Amino acid sequence: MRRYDFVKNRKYAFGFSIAMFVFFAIMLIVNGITLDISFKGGTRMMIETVGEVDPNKAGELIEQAINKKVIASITKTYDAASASATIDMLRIDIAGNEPLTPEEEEQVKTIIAQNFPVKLESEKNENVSITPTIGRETLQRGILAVIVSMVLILLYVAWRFSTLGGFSAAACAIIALFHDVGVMFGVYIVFKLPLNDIFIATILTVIGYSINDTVVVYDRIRENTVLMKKTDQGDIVNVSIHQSLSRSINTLATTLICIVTLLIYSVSNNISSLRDFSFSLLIGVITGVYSTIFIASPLWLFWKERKQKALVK
Amino acid sequence: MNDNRTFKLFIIVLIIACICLLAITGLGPENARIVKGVNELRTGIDIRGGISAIMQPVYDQGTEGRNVAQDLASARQIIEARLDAQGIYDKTITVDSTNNRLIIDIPWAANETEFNPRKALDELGSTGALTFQEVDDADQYTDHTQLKPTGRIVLTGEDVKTASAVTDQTGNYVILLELKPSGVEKFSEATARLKYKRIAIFMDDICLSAPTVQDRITSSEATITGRFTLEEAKALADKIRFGALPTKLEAVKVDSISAQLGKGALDVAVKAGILSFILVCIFMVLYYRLPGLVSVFALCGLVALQILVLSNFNISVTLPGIGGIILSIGMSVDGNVIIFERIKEELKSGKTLRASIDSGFKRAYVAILDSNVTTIITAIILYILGSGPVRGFGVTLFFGTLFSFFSAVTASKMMLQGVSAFGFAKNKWLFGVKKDKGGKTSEAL
Repeated sequence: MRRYDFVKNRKYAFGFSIAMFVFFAIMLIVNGITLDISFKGGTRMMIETVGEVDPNKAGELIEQAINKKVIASITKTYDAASASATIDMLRIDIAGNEPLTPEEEEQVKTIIAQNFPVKLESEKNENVSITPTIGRETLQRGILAVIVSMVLILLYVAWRFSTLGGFSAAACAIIALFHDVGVMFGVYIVFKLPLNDIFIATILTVIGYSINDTVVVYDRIRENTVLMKKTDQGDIVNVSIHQSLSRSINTLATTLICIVTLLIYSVSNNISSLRDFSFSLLIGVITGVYSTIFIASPLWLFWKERKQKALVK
Repeated sequence: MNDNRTFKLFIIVLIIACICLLAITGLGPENARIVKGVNELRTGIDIRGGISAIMQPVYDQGTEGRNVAQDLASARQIIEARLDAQGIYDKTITVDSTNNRLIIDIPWAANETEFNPRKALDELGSTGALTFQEVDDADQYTDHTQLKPTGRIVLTGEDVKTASAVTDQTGNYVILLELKPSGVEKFSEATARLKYKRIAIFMDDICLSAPTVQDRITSSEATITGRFTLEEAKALADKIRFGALPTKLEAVKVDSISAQLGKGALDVAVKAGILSFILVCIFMVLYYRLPGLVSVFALCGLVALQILVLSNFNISVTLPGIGGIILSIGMSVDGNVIIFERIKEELKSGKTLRASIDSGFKRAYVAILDSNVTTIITAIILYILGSGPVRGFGVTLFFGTLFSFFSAVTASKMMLQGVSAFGFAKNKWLFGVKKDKGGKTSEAL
């Protein structure tokens, strides 16, 4: 069986990734970024209920009606008038930079009144605008944390893989990480999925997964560089990728078993937070493995070759 | 020698069994648990609901000259830090900008029976302003709980660099303050002037302690003593560390809030988790056979350890958090996969079983170490720099990676070496490698 030549065919992989990013950039201009209420803030409507209301269902219905991201829940307060009775309110959070228009508000009220036992004219009902629950500082600190950890990973990989030229290997690993984060963002933009705190968590997970994957292949290249001193660098990279391929695939397989199981369960039971979580992980883990095999190591080789050519000149 | 290896196998299996049992049942009597099990896991607000409180700023001097919106934004940040310090990562704090109020949603504590949300919220809303004040001469012998602020301030929270809860020589919990240079100067001046007099330490207008100055203190460290429990000492230290709220907040309305998801959501996640676990185990056993079986044991221990960390650190677990645990089932076999692939390669190159296992582990070790260190770096940075959900993620990532590293390079290794001591294990087929007629080996499947 002829082995697939990752090094020779790298131009296709690079081309594919570049084309993909151009597509994402166009979609970014067309679609823009959708932010969830946790980043954007929005409007909170409180409507008194007089019977059983399923908040999950209510949220879905409103989402369909006004095409904005909605989180609904029920709050209970003990009634001041009688100790045993409670006042139940349906709490609807609607993401949006602008306050709800009167038409939208009317739409929400209509759809809720049609489907659930609520008191639209209660004096307890209110509409307030709320700020993002994930403040700007949380987001900034999160981004800062990712940048600092990337710099430290860069230093660590450069130190541990000095046989691979240190910095060049580390830089390629980081480029592969940016590739993965970019693809995850891209998919969210293309499908107009709202960015929220779950998305941040999955990006962090994928960064961990992808760097793991890249380091394992680098480890093989490092080992083979010592073992196969006379061999051409391109062959070493190819052999190393092939040797670690069954590991990459098997770990991907066990990880995908979990993600796909979660995805199926959450879609069939309509649990949006778990669905968002497993969907973005699915994308991230696949691109993580792809970037290790087709981007990080071949890119590193490309870098080395360019440098050697420059030296010869 | 063989006996030794079998003995180690037995010990490791026993340890894993104990960890699993501990994770399921926990340890200790009901009201004073030593180890909390899976049932005491603190579930997040999306699963179990919690309380939603509306906090209104109270300005004693009126709002003139104050930027209320800005005060609320900084209060939000400080309250977030205070809750983070308690391991509550899944709260949401939002500013109701229509009415200038804070709305705080926090999950119920695990198995909460006598939780008093008012008290918790009053504490949360207290400004947490720390002051060291002179004591009137008339009050030199008054019990410190009776002392009222005199307004003659020696030090404020601004002069404190950091604070932590520690035990002193007598085993009591105290709060250790490290002072800024400005604080050292003031404190040294004050302790010289107030020798043999008392200095009262106030949190807002409650006196925590009022020690008598025995000598001039010129060092950068000071302690607050009092009859604190560990929790009280920690909570006070946190308040001092995160700074004072710009204004006092009062809970004007406290509601209980339902889980955002139906009650079935948790069951669904647990079912998905069990199914994922079974499928991963089947995959590992089918593909790697005997080593695969070993990794199944290691995986059991790993999941149990993770549950133990989450329940004993009181970290509230949201549905995506449970998703993260399930994901780690798939990701953490990675170390084992790297090792088993190596062992297969070594076996194929014609080495004996024992030599293959040893060199397989040895050669895989570096790869596993390097890949885990990079993840640990990320986890630590996320914990230090992140806040809220990012920080919670850092905690779980750190322990998940650490445990999977040790389970792969230690537990799996000892178990595999132990199993290989048995006669039946000499069959290379059990390691996914088959011997064909020509004596050459080739990969099975």
